[in-house]
Amino acid sequence: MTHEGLARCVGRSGPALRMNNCVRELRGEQGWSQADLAGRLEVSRQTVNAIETGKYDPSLPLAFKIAKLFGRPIEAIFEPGE
Amino acid sequence: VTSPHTIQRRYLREFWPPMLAYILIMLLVWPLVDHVQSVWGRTALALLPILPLLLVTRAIVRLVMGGDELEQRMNLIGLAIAGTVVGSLCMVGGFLAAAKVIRLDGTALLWVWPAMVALHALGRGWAARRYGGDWAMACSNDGLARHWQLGICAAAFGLILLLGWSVLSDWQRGLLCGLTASMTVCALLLRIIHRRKSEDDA
Repeated sequence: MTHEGLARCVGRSGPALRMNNCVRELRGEQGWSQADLAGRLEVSRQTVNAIETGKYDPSLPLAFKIAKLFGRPIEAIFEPGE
Repeated sequence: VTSPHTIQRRYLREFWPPMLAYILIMLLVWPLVDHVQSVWGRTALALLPILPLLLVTRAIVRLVMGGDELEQRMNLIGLAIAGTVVGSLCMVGGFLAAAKVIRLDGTALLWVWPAMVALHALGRGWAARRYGGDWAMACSNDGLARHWQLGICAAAFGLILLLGWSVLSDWQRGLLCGLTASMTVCALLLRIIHRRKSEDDA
């Protein structure tokens, strides 16, 4: 995923600095449902949904787990929002 | 590592038997405390409900510890809201009682835990919505839907009402009838809402 692609990904503006991420797009490329991804990450589907919609930023261990699952460096999936 | 679905099922398996035992003890055994003369006997009978409550506590702790990071955060928010509100209410009650505006005895303490549980559920539900979840679901979207939880509660109260009809007081019968009916109505309403939402999503 390019930087332009990442820039189009979900992010949420607000008083606190939020992350943008491409988890939904990467999941779509794999053809996985949210439940599939949740099972692979050993988290609830609600957590996957919250990450994809930018309502929750995962912890560093979970972010690394996501990066490892999609076989990409962490900065290719997550970047700081504006 | 245990999956969220397995943790939910384990929680339900560990929560309901001691909770039903607690309800049965409170309704059928605990009222006998007035008929026991010895101090040790009264103490043992008075503290009997604590035993199933310890098992319920264990089930809740294992549920929270088994949750993922977002679930633990939502539980923390719920607990913070519950602790703050209940603590503040206790302070209000304590000040009013100390000023002799109202009269409170020790039995008021029995309401602390139920109030904590109810406010925790509300606080957790609020947090779940904030993170894009659903009020109508239990611990997560993978959990047992709220209408099923209420339905099970209503069935349990109804069963206790039928089994204990002859030994229950009018007040207890009325309480159980009210709880069974209100929980059944709430479960049905939530089921309808859940079904409509599913149809809209489809």
